[in-house]
Amino acid sequence: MTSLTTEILVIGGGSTGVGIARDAALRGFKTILLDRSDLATGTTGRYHGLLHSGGRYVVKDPVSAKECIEENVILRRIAADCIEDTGGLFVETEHDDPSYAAEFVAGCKKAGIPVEEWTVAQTLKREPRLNPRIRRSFWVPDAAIDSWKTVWANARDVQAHGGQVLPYHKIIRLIRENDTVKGALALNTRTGEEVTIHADFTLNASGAWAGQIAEMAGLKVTVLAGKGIMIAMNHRLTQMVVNRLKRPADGDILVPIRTVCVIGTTDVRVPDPDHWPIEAEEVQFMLEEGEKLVPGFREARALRVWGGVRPLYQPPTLGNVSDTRDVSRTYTLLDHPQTDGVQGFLTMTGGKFTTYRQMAEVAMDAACRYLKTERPCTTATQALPDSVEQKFYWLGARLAHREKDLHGDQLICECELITRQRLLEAFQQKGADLDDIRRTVRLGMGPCQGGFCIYRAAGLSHQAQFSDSQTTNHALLRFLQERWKGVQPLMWGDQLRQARLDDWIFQGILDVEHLPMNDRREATNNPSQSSAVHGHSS
Amino acid sequence: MNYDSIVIGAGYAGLMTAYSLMRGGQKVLVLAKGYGRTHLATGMIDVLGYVDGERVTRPLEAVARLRTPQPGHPYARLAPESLRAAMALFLNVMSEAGYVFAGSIDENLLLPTAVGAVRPVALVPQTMVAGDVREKTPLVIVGFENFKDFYPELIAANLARNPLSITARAITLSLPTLENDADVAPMILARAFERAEFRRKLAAQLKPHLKAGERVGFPAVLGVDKAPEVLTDLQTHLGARIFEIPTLPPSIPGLRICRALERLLRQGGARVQIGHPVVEGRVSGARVEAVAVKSAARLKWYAARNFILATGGVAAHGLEVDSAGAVREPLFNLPVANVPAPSQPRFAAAYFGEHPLSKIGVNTDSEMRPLSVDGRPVLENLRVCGALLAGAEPWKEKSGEGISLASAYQAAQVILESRK
Repeated sequence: MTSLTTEILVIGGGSTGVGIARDAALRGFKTILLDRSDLATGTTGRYHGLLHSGGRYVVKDPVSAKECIEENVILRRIAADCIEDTGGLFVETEHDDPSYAAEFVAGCKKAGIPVEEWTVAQTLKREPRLNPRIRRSFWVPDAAIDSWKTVWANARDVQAHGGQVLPYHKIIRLIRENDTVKGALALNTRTGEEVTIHADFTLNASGAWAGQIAEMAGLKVTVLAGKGIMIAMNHRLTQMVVNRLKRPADGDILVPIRTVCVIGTTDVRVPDPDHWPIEAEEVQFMLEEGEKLVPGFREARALRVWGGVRPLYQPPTLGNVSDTRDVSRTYTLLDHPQTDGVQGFLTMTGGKFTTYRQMAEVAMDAACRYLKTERPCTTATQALPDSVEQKFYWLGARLAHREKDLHGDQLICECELITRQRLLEAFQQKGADLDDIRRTVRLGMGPCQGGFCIYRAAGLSHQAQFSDSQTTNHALLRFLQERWKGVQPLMWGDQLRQARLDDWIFQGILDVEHLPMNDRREATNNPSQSSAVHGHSS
Repeated sequence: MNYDSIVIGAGYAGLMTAYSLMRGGQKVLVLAKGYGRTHLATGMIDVLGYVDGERVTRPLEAVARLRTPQPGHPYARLAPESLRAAMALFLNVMSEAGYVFAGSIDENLLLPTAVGAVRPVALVPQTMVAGDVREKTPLVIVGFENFKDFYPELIAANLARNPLSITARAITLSLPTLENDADVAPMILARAFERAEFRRKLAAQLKPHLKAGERVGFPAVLGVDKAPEVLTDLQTHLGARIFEIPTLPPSIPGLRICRALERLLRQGGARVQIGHPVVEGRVSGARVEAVAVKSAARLKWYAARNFILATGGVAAHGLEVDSAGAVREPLFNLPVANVPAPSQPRFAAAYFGEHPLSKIGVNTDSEMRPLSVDGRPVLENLRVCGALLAGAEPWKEKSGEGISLASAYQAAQVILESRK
């Protein structure tokens, strides 16, 4: 049993959690962050990657719209390396109500969101694949942001400021002495060791899982889980973010991010944030809506489908919610000392990736008040590591980097331009779980879906002694199963052809199905109960 | 110019049908949009490796037993003698080409794969035969730092953990003789092995590490057209038996087979035209009259008495599945069998599970003519062979080449006999 002592304990390694941990560490607090899994495996790593201008919410949810534009401006300053400044369009198609435009423009002005009407001709010149029958088009400062990269950068900065980031630490219980939360008991799921963390103050940043954590402190917090599915297409069908000019609905946004574009999303309330299906009808609906924005969408290759659950806080006053689209996208700080008389514990939930930094600031301001210390927040001005130069990411960045040293190193993943050196560094940081590696360096996320690089990565991990053969075999088979979950609902056209080629490689040539395993059942038949697709293919 | 037969597709099925017809005296044209599965597969000849997850020891017997539980399997519709004759023919053809194969369809060999699994297979080129793990002498697997498609440590570790109690270890060498390149492609490496100087240097580097009695496994890149010579020479230098292990595409051993067959076809007077797709067929009544190739932005028509459709399965565009789940054979719109109903799932949740869509394909009669849903031939002079046939999961069963060669043989025999 390990025992750790800290000033601030943050529970949850999504954007909110790492944001709070960084905010705390920069204010000079001794900080520890825990997550039951790897960082950014909950909602953060499973969204389409939109840096909201706020435009989507100006009519329906103006509070959220205002938060979005404030943070849009700040993140462009502090997280430039994670952002591609694509710009965004709201286009009115023949299916959309023409009266919405006036409300939209008025809402943008009110929220302080720059907006500019473009002619249809001008729009089609920039985005020639868009439906030529669009009627109006408005530019807003939407952008694409890489949520994984943002989370890693925050986590690294926590460590750089003396904090500890502990993934794969599952909370067993909160330590509550009388009316005060004094830390947590956690299980290191990688080693099986129990870890006690004594903390002066504990922040619950577990998003859609916040109710489960709060319950451990004897508190009732209702966070609804709103499932959204997204599909990554194999190409950037548009170069700018494109929204339908209407109230937010299903399948009405296309986000170009890195080499793909992502269509999103649905919004369905699910009872359990860990277990929910991706329905064939949802996929078909996305394709139909995509067709309205980009004719021929259905014939384009769909690369991967995944889903995530939005944390939607339900105040006790709100009553029963039937449509999760109607729950505000703004964030909520639950002041447990004040409302529940439980000291040393706050819950920050709801909100959006775009507002993660502001949420962290608000949460830590409150924590400082209870800790009776005045330490100003500096995250709005202090850039993340790699973003200090304030240069936006651009699509050719990886290739440009690679071209500097074309013959010096092996390219293990041709699709995502990952070199042997980069991969070995990732193994060093993250261990040999290929799914963790996938999220860290985007291994196996390109068009070949790991057909070539996963064999290489497995071989390399074993060769460099990051894993023994047994662990390597498990990692390889687990990767194949996880990948299958993300591609199986999209098995048609070229995507099916690719999958079949991969079948020929992994089964036909390598016969991975008959690798020596200690547990044969696990080797050959491991459909996880959860359909929560490990996604973010963007 | 009129042909006796036009073969569409240049995989194992297409090339071998063309070969048989040519040897039978026919004027043959092969049309293909590109190279076939030879370049993507192992370069070994599978007949049947697994049935219901159980490893097959005696493939010919297992094929015969398949008829009752799997009447829809291609093997169930092929005459048993076709398989045996097709294999004998393939062995002869490869000997004629100077690329000798070994093994038999009576008993599978057990060869290591590039992850160190042990895989059953019927026929393999001489360059691979010494890897058979049914023999108990120790193995040493050799890889190269500069070559990213082969990991000897993982292979050896997995072999050593195999219940068959195999003794195996790994050596990784650097290939300094290849000019300043950290990332050597398989074809470059295969060409390098064809140079005597390269082999001599490599052997000098490797030999001190070898122990007496060890068999030496290399990635399957030991030369392109000169593989047998490379093998003999390296064995002499190293004083050890050596063997190749197939790895990721492009497949050098598959390429050797394809080049050998293409060469024999051309030498024998057949015409082989690879690089332009057949996009259309002209059908009159129940007969195919001609097919059109798209080249230089126009259609060029070719007529013949017989047509052989060997365009492959889903991976090769021989079958197409659209986003609504509809399946079609794009060239003649042939009836496709085993398509799950729209309300039924097409795939299982487990990657290694039973996927209903996996066995889609064209059903044929014993003359390899495509059948309608009610079991009547739809086109009289069109024969279907290879991966387009319904009822198999060759990547899982390890049956791909066997089905291709046997169906190719049977299609060719039917055509040649009908002329008599």
